[in-house]
Amino acid sequence: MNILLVLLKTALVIGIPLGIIPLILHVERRGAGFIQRRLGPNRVGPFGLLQPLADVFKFLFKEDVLPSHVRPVYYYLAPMISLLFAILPLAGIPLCGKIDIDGTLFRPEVFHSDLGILFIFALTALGPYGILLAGWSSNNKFTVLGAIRACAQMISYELAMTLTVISLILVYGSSDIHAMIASQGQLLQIPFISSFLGLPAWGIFLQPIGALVFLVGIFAESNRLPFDLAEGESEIVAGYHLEYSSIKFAIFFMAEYVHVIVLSALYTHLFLGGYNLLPGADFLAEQWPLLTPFFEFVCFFSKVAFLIWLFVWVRWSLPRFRYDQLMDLGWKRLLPLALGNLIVTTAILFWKHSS
Amino acid sequence: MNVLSLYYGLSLLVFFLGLGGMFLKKNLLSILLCVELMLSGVSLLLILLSKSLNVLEAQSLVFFIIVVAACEGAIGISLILSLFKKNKTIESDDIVTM
Amino acid sequence: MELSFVDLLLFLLVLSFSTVVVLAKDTLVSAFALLLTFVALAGIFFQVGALFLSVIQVMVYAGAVAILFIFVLMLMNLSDIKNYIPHYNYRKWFSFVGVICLGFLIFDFILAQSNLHQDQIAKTSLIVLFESLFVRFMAAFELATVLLLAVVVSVVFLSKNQENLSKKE
Repeated sequence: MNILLVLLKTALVIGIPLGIIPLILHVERRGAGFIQRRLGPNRVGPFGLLQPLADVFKFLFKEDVLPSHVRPVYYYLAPMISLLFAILPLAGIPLCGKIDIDGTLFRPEVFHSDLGILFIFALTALGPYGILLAGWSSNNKFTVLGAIRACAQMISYELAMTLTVISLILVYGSSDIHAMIASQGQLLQIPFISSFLGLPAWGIFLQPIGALVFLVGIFAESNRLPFDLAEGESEIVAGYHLEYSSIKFAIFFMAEYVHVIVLSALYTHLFLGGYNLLPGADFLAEQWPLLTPFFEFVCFFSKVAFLIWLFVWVRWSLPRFRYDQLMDLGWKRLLPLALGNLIVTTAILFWKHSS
Repeated sequence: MNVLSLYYGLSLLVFFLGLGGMFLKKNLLSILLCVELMLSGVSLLLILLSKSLNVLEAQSLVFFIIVVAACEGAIGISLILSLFKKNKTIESDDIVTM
Repeated sequence: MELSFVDLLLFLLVLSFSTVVVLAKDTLVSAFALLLTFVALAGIFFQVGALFLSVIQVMVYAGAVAILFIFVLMLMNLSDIKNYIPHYNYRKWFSFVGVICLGFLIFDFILAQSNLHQDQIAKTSLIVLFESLFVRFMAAFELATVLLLAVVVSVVFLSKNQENLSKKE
């Protein structure tokens, strides 16, 4: 019974991102058209809804080319590793609250431990390796350079993100995600004006600088514009996935979208209240308390959907950063901001605790 | 056979593989990689001992070993890079003068 | 505690990846194999019950140290330098390792007669570990942060162009 449950949850963890990807593709292309004052794809199905399906067919039936100058084993391994390390952090991210069925606790995440967030961050730290392997196995100096630039970008922004999460753990008092979301459900307590605001203690209110740093960080982690230097076609000959064609190229892009989904889910749990019920669903859950996990999942998913729309929105609104501007932002501005945030948070908590 | 004795054997194997690699490799960076392997073998041994003898401080020691290994790897790499700039090679056979 | 399939699998993974680290001719292949050794070792730490250390191992070793090695090897193109092991040393070295392991097996057989190993491997509670780490070893912890700062400063200094520095004097 236990094994079956773990297998079911693993199937969900693999199936949910891969199932959302066609939706994101559609939203991205129609959203891009909407922002650029043109129609997106609208020929293939009603409102272009079958366009992602057409894209998948195209990628599947293209010829799978193995160039003669690449290293074969690592060439085939790289897209798989990229997708694997993109999906893995989802194992620690819960989709809804803990469900209590007659005393046995059913957890909606695949793997649970005391250190919830640290586990997710350890797996996110393995993200750059798929890109490195891809760039190196292509046996091409330009792809190696592109891969190194992409990896350096990912690890620099990961550092600022981890420091931000440390101050968040300090504020909420636990690194377990369920405990963090539970404390985000409380009312926000600002000393003089909390009586009439009625805001929940979301991370974005308690740690505004941290939320900003983390938001910039997740754009950089998933290699999306304005940080998508490695995929910039006009610059370095398309970067690390230059020598890849058809389905392997599609797997790299799927890995990028899975990164978007996973990091949006993480951001929602840390800063936007996770699966806590929004005001409308609050009322509905009181009517039907047995359906509470379903409402929690819907609230969680709507917050994640808002963040994914934010990804698409920012992609078509901001120009791309140059590499030195990117590194400058990561090391000289975000890292001191995150450190300052940590120091200020520690000072405020110490003052609150001692008084 | 106990799982812990299997892992004790593994930590010994990893340590001696690293030691052998350190003696036999010519590339200075490979030597550094084998040093990291030795340090990992020792951390594994310490964690197993912490479980067998019920001593929790060994896990704190592994934490410090990880920190020190990272520092030593970083400094080793920058020293090797300075050597490379000077001698244009990092083969240990060819670097005979300071 | 009895052997399970996962234990044996992790043992074989660590063994094969560390062998690749030592025996590979291309240094970059041995760097990638070292990375996989670290990840598999983190799995072993997890099996034995040290959760926090397995996570720290992945974050620090696999997420930072291994990337550092791989970057240097890729950027400075240092991996296509001759890296062979002379043929005759294999036999000497591996026979030495074999003798050590045989000695260990005998030692372990003698040791298994006493009741040194635990019956059940319990996961270490985080709070107890942190109490040991931060309260008893606080001085060492602070010294470790000073060490990290010293390393950062010295790496930046060592990587600067040495001719420019001597020209200033």
